[in-house]
Amino acid sequence: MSHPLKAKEFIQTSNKVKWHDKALWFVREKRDLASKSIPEWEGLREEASKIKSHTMGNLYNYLEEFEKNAKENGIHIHFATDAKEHNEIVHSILKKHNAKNIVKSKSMLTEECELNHYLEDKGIEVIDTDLGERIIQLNNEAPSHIVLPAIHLKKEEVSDIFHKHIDTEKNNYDPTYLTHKAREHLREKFENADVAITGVNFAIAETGGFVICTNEGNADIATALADVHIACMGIEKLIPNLKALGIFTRLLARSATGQNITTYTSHFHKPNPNKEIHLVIVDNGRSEILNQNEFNNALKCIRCGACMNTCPVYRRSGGHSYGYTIPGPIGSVLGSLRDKINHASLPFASTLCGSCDNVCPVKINLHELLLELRKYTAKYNFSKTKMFVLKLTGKVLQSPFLLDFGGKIFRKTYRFIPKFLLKNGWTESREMPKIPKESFKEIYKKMKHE
Amino acid sequence: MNNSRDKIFKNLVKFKNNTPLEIKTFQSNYENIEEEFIKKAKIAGATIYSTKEEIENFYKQQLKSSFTYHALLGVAENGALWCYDFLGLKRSNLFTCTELIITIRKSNLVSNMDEAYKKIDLSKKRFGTFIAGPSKTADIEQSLVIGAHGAMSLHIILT
Repeated sequence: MSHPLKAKEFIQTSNKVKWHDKALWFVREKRDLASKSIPEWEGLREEASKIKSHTMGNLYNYLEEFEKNAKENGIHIHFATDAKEHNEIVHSILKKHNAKNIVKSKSMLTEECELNHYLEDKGIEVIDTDLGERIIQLNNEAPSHIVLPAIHLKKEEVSDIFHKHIDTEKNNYDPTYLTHKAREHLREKFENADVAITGVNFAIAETGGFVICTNEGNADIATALADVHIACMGIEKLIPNLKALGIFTRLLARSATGQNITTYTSHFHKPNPNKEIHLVIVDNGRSEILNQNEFNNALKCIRCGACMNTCPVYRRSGGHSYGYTIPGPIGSVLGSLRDKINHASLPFASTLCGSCDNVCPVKINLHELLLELRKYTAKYNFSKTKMFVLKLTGKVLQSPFLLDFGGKIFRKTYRFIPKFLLKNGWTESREMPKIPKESFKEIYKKMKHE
Repeated sequence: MNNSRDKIFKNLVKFKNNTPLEIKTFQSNYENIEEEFIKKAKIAGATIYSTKEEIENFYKQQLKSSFTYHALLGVAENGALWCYDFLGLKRSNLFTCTELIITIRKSNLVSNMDEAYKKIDLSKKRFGTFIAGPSKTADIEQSLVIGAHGAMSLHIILT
């Protein structure tokens, strides 16, 4: 189903548009306050963008350097070309350790690879431990935001989900009560965990380690208690060194939630004695995007979610309307790069206002990428009628004579055109503007003569 | 498995170059680094004890399930404290305790993350984490709740 249809569903059935819009704008405002609190903010964005471009341009060497250093640190490195291979690798590690209790902290990559479903089919249950992820896991849903996975649910709904699955009091909607109940429920899972699966925020080539940022501490508890840690990362997570990390840790939380830093910014470098760290490095279409010069900026993304919080379309259509793991402007770009046919509507889920470009901490030119992607959609997905109308419009707009002439005829005859002929997605909830008797050119000419 | 490694590297071969990278240094010139640290640590949700009286009163309390860590590095711009894994530390204590107490000397405060990473040597460390405030979440309707999975409160003894 296309984005406009799903957005319509969200707007018409959920009654949440205003509330959703406000909730995300609130996050955007917190981001503004945090960014303005440090005078060098724009300089940091500039550096971050530069570092990411540089890393992408030298990825072969950085990946090689990282692999060598991480291996020296005693981290087991695995490479996966696609989602299937990633899932198989994780599964084989779980099998080797005969793992029964598996806890996972937030990782968009494992969502992209649909790891949970894959393991479920093999009879292995994975417990998501990020509060938002746990809520949607119990409710059998996909995340609707990359930082706030359950932002589409109201506390009453969360209360019902928890009442049903973890036996909280019925009709107790207090977020503190619900969170602390989830804490108890999940603490037990941590204590019994054999394997902890996590994502990765940054992988540092120079030191051969990686960084995970959380506010809840779920990744930290899980990895400290379980004997085996499996971390999953895309190849674009690499950064050169600690100095670069200093730039990104200053940008990430401020852009994401308006905090000065996440509660836990954890650096994993060597396994503890008798424990194991496995790192699965995944391509899954990334190198292909990297090789497309006009689109490889999309790989600079550090997954802060600022572009969704500010996007007027995302705020009013909800994350699920995108039908891709990552919603919002960056998700529209990545989704349609992955599958131009099935995600053909995504480049149009934007007003091209450019607000996303302005908040992006790594300065991705999101709205330009979306515009560029529309060209592909036009080439492959537009109907013949639409292409004919567009081509005709193009011809008319190119010729002053045709434009004047066509305008004249339209102004004279539009009153007789039956309304249903003018009906489309745009006019469905909008009236045609009043059309003046004369064009600007005609009025101007007249005035000149007077 | 090696096959996949080679495949990925083969796709990246175009990006096998060695252009140098220079990253700008950003200095944060806080008038009073200690005040800035206290301000930012409070924003992150920590409680600070810095006067003799405050510290004495703090230690008179009976805290349940507490754990104390002596940090050697704190960051003024965000109130984060660097806690690393060393021989004899049970790392999980940092995260499973209810009340986390971290001590830090005023002389060990730096202005920002750039400065902080200059002082950190990760080559010999297994694990290290910046901790700013108690564990928290806002996953239910954007309401901030303290005490998600980690410590319910963070007490910073600043001496």
